[in-house]
Amino acid sequence: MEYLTGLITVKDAARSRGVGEETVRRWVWSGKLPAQKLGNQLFIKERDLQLLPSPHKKKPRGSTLRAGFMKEARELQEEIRERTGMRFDLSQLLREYEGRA
Amino acid sequence: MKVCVESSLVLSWILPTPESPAASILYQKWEREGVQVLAPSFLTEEVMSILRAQVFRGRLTPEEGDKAFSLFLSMGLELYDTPELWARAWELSGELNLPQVSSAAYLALAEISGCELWMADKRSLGIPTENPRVRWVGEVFSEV
Repeated sequence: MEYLTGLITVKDAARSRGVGEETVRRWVWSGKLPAQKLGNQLFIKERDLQLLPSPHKKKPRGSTLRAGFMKEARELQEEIRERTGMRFDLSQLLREYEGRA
Repeated sequence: MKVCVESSLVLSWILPTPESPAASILYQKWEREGVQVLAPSFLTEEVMSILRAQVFRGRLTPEEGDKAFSLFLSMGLELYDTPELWARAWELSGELNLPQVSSAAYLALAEISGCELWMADKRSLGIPTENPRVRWVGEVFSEV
């Protein structure tokens, strides 16, 4: 069955991408993923599957601000102010960063 | 509830700045209310580089720099890096005729997330501050 080289079933494609078989069929029906029908079964080129963008976006799970952070930050701010007697000018810091001065 | 923050606000949480007292009130309010605080992923590089520059220039001691950096990492920000964000940032930078994309990325994230964009330095973004999403930390005293 030389012509089947590099082709995988929907089930194998789903397993390889860590998604359900229905998701893979949806990709095929929407035209996102090319496939061919041999008999009653859909086959997908492994290469086409690899070219699909990752279904898992690099997006963090919901989290909130850490309690206790501000107390530690105030201590550090106080330490810096006591040593230097100065407060930082945000505009200057950002200008220096943008100019990489 | 979600809010998007710009690097000037994050820096005023860590370093002593004239805006730090108001920024601190805002942080505690958001912490109490369980607000999710979002930023584009490049904020990490921005804040790290600025902190590093302060050590390099002798304004912070290496120990203060280490503490500031650790504090930043422990803050609990949600950093975003999605094609949708960058695509909208690119569009917005054209619409607003900005010379760079980073300012637009902050606004794009606020727009995509349907939230406000908070900053501590009004001038730093270079985007129109009359945009209803853009909020300045100086407004905080009328908020709380």
